[in-house]
Amino acid sequence: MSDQSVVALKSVNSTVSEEEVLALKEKLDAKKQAFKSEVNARKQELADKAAKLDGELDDKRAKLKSYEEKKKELLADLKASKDDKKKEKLEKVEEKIKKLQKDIKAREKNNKKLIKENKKSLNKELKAKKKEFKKEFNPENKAYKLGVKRVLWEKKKFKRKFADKIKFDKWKAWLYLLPTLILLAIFTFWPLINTVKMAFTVYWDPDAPIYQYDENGDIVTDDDTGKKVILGYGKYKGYNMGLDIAGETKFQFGISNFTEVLKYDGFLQIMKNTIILCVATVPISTFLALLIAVCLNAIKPLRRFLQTIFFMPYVTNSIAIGMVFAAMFNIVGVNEHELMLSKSLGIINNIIGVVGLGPVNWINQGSGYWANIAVMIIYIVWNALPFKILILLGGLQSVNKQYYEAAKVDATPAWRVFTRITVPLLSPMIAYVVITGFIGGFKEYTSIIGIFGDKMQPPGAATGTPRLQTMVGFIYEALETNSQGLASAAAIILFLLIFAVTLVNLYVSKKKTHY
Amino acid sequence: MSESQNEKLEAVEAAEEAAVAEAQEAAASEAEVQEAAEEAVEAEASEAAEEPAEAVEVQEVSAEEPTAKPTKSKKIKTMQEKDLKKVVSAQKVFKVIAQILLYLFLGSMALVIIFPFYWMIISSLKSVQEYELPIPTLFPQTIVWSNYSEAIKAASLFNLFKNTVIVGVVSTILSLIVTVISAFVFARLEFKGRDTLFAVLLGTMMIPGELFTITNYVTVSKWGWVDTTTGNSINFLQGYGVLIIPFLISIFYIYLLKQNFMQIPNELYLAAKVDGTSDLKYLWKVMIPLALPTLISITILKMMGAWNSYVWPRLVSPQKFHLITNGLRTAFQDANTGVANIPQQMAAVTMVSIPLFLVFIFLRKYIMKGVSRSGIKG
Repeated sequence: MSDQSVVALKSVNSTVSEEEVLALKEKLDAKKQAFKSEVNARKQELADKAAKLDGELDDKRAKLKSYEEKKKELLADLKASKDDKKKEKLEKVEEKIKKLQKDIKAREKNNKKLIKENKKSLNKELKAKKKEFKKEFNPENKAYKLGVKRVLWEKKKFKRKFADKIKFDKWKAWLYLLPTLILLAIFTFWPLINTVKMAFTVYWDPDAPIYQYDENGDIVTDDDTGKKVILGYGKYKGYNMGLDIAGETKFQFGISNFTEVLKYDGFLQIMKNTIILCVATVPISTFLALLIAVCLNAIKPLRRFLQTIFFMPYVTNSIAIGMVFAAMFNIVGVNEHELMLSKSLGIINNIIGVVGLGPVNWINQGSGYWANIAVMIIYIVWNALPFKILILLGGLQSVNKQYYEAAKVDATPAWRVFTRITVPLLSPMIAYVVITGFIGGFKEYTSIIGIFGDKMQPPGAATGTPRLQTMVGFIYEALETNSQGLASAAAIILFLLIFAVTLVNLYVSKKKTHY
Repeated sequence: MSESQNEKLEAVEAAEEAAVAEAQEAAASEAEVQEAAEEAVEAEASEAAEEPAEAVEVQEVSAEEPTAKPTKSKKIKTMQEKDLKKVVSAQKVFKVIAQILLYLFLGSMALVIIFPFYWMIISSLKSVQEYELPIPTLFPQTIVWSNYSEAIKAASLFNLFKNTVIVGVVSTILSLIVTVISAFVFARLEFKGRDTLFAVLLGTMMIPGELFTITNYVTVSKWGWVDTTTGNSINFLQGYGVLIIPFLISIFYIYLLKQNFMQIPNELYLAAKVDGTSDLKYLWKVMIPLALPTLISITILKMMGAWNSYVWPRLVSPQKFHLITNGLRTAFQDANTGVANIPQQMAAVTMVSIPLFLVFIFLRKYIMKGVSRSGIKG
């Protein structure tokens, strides 16, 4: 960092310090006091001067009085004996009296004028001094203004220096973002619009036959010919990319994509698979993960080692390990009717055979739906454990140890500690893994491919909707058969389902979460 | 003069008087103190005199007990100690049992977790005959390495490996560049609508990927990059591009990196600007080294994503551009009966899994950190 920039940054961010202002204020107070006493002294001086003048005037007045008394005496004497000398004296006294009176009058006038002038000049002087004082020593004017001015000036200087660069930033950001935004526009924002658009786009196919359905939803066939009963022709069909590119078909707004998905005879099967898998795997894997995480948290030696082992299923290819599971459950050379004659029952059947169970046809030809589902549940739980253990263990390690200390002091039994302390404190993490578990369950696809192959059912099972079809599987199937409208509608339905389940989960967890 | 002298004298006299008075008072107070002290001593003495009597009484009272008390207290003490010892030892035993149970549970769960891996490796080394024995062997009697070479041949694994590595490396590098720059822009630069834009981007994260996949499929089809039959109509650039380009931007990684970048103080950036450093140099010299752990996490997860991607390549690519996972599932299986050469299959699966395990063992910390923050795989 260069010195220049340090100074600039500091000045931008600093104000005048409090100490500086306080010192200035103290200095100011002292000056104020001195100023006040000076003013008082000046006023006193003025008063003294006035008093002195008044005293002189009083002397003159007393003299005048004495002269007037003398005049009265002389007048009385003159009445008694008419003497020229006395007459002369009287005239003299009268003259003096006149003179004095004149003098007093002049002095009175003069004194008034003098005092007035003095007062005026003093006031003027004081006013000027006050003004000067205010101007010079007001802390707000002096200290703050000085500091703020400097800061503003420095800021201005700093800004001026980088003004061109800051201006450049505004469109530089968009320049940098350009590749990202282009890719996002093509592969994220456009799909959002276009998928919705495709889902609501249909066309009228005048040649499409309308079949008759019975109460089970199956197409009615004619008993004589064995052909499907056709009631008429003409039907709305969903968006199709091939037809769109060919450009001969007129597309219009319609909701038949959605109705087709919902009326699809495999849709119930899909929902059934999804709900069974979610309802079974999420609680089992969450509970097991919680138990393992709590146990891992309670031990010291070997913890890291075990933690690593428990995380291993996460770093696998779900199709590759699905194949391993398939091999483990696989019966080699199985024949639907002669299970016992097969060469190898598969390691899982061997293991449960030790306890006296089985053998079960898990995934081979002729296997039952619930056996297939059981394999899927085992594999999905096995696959889902690591992430849940990681999150829950992380949560456990951040829990305040004091709760457990308190429980220890009270000799609380371990089970109560688990249900009353651990679970409530972990409830946000549990809510998180449950929600992500449900989302994963609704989007289950590759694990089924891993075990059953891309036919998504055991070999030899009935044609039509695959037995273990899921929503995602349906979407990809529709895509591959060029029914993009159908796929879009299914994807939107999947999104709405996930959204609804997440909202329900959030609502429940908000009620149960202890934070 | 005389008056002042008199005054002085008077003052001296007064002072003397005062001093005398003070001395008298002091003497008096001393006497009082002495008296008080004497009284206190007397009082103490009297109390002391009284105490012995009491003490004797106490002794008399306690004189009866000494014979019984020591043995009783000893007994109680030893009993208490015994009880305590019992309790402690019971607690210890309980603790040990609890620990044993804990380890038993964890050990068995770990066995369940690890068994598929064990079975995968063991099976990959068995001959088909041995694998199909009615009573399975837990360790191969004869190790058959040829399963691996045959698996490579059967599934043309080399080509799949090559494709996967190309797609993985290129997509990771490009994605890292775009992610770093975007995260930098969102974390450091200020422009109108930045926060709104980022909120919109985050909002798209809750939409399931399938919704994007459909239109992306339509888009790349219209570009003519899709050929699922022979692959003769597309060149290498299109063949790999269709696997890489749609997944270059991951908003989550941008978010992750942005959070990391925002922890770096902005003053560093301003200082770099003052010194005339360009944005790219600053990114390279300051931001990237500081955010390296996150970048490593992103790299690993992205590579794992390429390694594990299955659906998209199957949807858009011909055989020759397939990735490793696509080749695995069908190569060893009879399409109709579902009967497979399982040891060969397991050999291929092992080869696919081993690189992931190696990465995991060496970069465990980064993977677990990245996963715990993202909750996504690839």
